[in-house]
Amino acid sequence: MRVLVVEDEPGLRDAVATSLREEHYAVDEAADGRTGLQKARQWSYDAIVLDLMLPEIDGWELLAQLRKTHATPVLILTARDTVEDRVRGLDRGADDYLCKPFSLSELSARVRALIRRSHGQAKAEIVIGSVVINTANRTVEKEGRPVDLTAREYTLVELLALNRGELVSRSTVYDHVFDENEDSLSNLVDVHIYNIRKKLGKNFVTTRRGHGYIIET
Amino acid sequence: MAISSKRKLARDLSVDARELPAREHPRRSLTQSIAWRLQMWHAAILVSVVVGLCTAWFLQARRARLNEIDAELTSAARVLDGSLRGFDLRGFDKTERPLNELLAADDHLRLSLPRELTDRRGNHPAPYFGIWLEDGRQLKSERLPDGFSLKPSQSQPEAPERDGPNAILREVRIVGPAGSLILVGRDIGREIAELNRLAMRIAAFAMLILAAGLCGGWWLARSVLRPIAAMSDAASRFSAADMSPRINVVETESELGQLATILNEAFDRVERSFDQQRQFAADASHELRTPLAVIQSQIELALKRERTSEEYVKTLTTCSSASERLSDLVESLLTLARLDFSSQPTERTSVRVDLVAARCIDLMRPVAYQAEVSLRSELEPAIVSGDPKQIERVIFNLLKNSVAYNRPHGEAVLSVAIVDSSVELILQDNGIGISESDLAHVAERFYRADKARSRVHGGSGLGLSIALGIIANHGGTMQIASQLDQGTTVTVHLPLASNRPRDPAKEPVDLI
Repeated sequence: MRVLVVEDEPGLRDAVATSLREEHYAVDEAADGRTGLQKARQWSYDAIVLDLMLPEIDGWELLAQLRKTHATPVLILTARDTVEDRVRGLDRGADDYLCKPFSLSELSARVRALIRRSHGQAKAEIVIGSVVINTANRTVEKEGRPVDLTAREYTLVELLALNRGELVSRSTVYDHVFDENEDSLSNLVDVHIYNIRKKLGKNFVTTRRGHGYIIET
Repeated sequence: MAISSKRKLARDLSVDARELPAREHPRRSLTQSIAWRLQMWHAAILVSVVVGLCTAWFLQARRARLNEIDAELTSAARVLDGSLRGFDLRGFDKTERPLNELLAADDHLRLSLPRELTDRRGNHPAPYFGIWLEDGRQLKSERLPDGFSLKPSQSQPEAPERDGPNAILREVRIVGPAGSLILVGRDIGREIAELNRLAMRIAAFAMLILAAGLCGGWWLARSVLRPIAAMSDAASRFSAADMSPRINVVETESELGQLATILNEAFDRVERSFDQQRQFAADASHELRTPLAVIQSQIELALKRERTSEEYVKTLTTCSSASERLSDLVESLLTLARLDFSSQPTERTSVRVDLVAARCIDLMRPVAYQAEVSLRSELEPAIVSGDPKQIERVIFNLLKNSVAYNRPHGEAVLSVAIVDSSVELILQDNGIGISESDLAHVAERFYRADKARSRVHGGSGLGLSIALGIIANHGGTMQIASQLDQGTTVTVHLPLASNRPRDPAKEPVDLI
């Protein structure tokens, strides 16, 4: 899952980005509104964490511009805590609102919920046949027994599970699993898919050659 | 402390404001209403004037009528008197000529009232009369009312009407020849009844005028006071929760129109300063929350798992700089709060501005060197009376801006001189300048023309506000002139300390 953090305060941006990376998100960073908007348009992020008081273009403007073309889930992270501000933020197209100072664990729970909901998934658990994926603590069980997946493998399973029934192209996989600093031209994805089949069953993931991957419902 | 108490104040105010519209206005008792009091006064004056006038009218009419009757009766008496003078009444008591003999000669004497009086088309009863000799014997009488008796004490020529058994009588008596008494009177019941009818008409008329006057007065009082009611309504709806109510000013020229305009202007000012205060509180909380968020998130991240010592050092460094920013900000906010609460410097000594300026330049030099900005100064000795620390803060803040908003190889020149009995401090730089739209706002709290740049320099956005507050506290002024890409000139005027210091005990001066 790939997340964009737009925040001009370096100490805060660093903490949020590092924390999300440690939760195995691919994280891009932007220090001002202009860069933030550019990145948000360029990549299809699973979620955007957005500060409001930004240099160049402020958060409100960024949100307004982005909403013209993109439906990316946006969580506003700001020190403006009045009811008017929250209402304004949500009404202008934000999906969630968190006031500074905040707890990192709450932020990551909200980001998880945001991503889950944007895929029409109300519960934290996704059940596919005998496989149960728990998105809250990032664990997978098969026939009641825990399966040991690497972080990347888990992310890939979650991505395919959230989009089950739909074809997920290789480029989408790259977009959502790797951040902008990683070299995505390798055949890493194929290796991960091979390992996932080995651990969760041969038919868990279907490969459509030349198109991508799909978990059949 | 100051800030927390100010916040508490704001909270109290907002609670109070929310309660206000719900609170019932104490019901005005009727006697306290101005309209009611106006009406009372108006009624009292109107009633006394109308009653007085009508009473005078009635009394005048009555007097005229009675005078008319009296004149008629008197003229009748005079006729009798004239007839009587034909006699020699003297010696009546001495002569043997009896009274009845005398009376028998009456045909010749014609002792009677003129015909036109006794025969008056039956309009009112004919007058009666009686003539008495000096010794009290009755000479002659006609139509005297039943039970009439002459009261000897009544010797005045005119007597008031007196109540007979069935009638109201009015009599006139005059003294005739040889001490005789002539009395003429008649029943005036008809006239009195007529006067009573007049009185009723006057009373009805007075009632009509009073009713019309009181109604008109009430309407007038209400219509004059209606704008006041509208004002008090608007003022009572004006609260922290809703600052939109204004008084609808129809006529701006009248006294009430002017009052309404003044009140509306006051409401505008309250709303503006409330907005500024709200903006300030929002900005202050934003500025305080951001470093707090840095500290909290950095610490939470570090504690999530075991870290390398480099990571811990990085976390602590970030936290330290955030907490430094936080304490700078708190210090600035406290300074501002203190400046807001007192209009005078807390401490007053004689301050050598040129020496303070020189020290500020020395302090600033390393920063300026790093920014590749050269600092120059032209300092003349000048003394102002004030708080040395605060004046140092002003100069330091201004210098900091000159260096921060400059560019490599730029220059900042600080001069102190005495001009027209005030100390003039000019700080001129050829830095990036301030755009015209920003220039109007630079002294506002938390306003930063360039947010990205100020974050790098760690400015709080309060420096200029604080400088302005201190200068105002010291009775001085500050002007900023600037052109984008050309540079900025800040001119500060402070009152020159008088030659004779106010507190001689503190002399010689504490030179800084």
